[in-house]
Amino acid sequence: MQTGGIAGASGSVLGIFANTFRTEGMRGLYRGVSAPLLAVSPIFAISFWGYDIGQRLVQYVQPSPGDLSLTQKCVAGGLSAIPTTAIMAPSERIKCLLQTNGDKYKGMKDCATAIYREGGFASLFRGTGATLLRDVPGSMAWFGTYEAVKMGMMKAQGIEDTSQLSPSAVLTAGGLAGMACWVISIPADVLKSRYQTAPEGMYRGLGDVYKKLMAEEGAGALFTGIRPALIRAFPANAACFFGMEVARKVFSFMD
Amino acid sequence: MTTKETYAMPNDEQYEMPTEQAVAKKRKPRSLLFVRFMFVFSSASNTFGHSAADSALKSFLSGGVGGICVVVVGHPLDLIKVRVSTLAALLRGYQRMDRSQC
Repeated sequence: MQTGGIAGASGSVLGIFANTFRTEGMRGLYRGVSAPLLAVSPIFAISFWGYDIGQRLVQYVQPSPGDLSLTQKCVAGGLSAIPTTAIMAPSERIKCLLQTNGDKYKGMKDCATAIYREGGFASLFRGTGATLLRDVPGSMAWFGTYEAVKMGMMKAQGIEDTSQLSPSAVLTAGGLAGMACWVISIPADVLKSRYQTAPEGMYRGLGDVYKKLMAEEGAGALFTGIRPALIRAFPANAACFFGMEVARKVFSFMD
Repeated sequence: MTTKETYAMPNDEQYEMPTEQAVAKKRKPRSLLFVRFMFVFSSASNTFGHSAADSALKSFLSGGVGGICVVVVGHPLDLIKVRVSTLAALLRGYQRMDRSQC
């Protein structure tokens, strides 16, 4: 299995990062990137689309004049995670396996066929429930924080319209949204990653993953990986929301 | 949007059963369903007091751009996250397997 980087490092995120870069190079750091690149773009497209539809659903169920409340936007955000899971679950399964067992597979396609041959579609979709458990509350926090920080900044700067916010404001709101999302979803993410990367037959289900983790390592283990997750969350999600807002402006010709 | 929809009930005497070919001709290709679905929602936006700028299709496309940004910036640290959070359990799992083989 792929232990490169971790085995020799002192355990700090920076140490592991440097070690991985040294032993596996840039390609090592981007190992397993093909699956998310292929899947994450449509996932975020569906996520933002779902958020849009979710807002309309919320508005439809509970008509209110003007903008939606923060709670309503959170609900809309939670709804957005439901359609994304159809792609998210199998792509996370492949991504996590490639990231931890990189040597075993030639690439994304090879990994997908190997999973399918071993356990069929059920195996490819292993961890779907865990993905929902992670992404519904996660998306609520994600969109909720983004909107809340934006609202707060608009109020502080006396701005009426979202489009007047500066790039740094968007980057900050996006980065904080990502961090809030990961604080909420890390326990479910740990269970999901373990469930999805386990050899066939190691766990009976997600509940079993939880029981074994609690028995053998205690609740603290639910937060393993929170440091790299949080360090990643800020730049990645700042970039995400920034890219999204820029694209939205570019696409304004559609109005 | 002010589209007037009028429904005319077919008169029994004038109504002809459409042939199978005519039905097939009328049916829109399936691949366009998703795109049409998004457009339906975008054009309905005015009904709910949203500006047309909030069109769902625009959200879809710009979200996709955001997704590419996430992967390019975030993947290396994501790799470390996954390795850190799975390593302990996997080692334990292999140890268990070794023991059971003894």
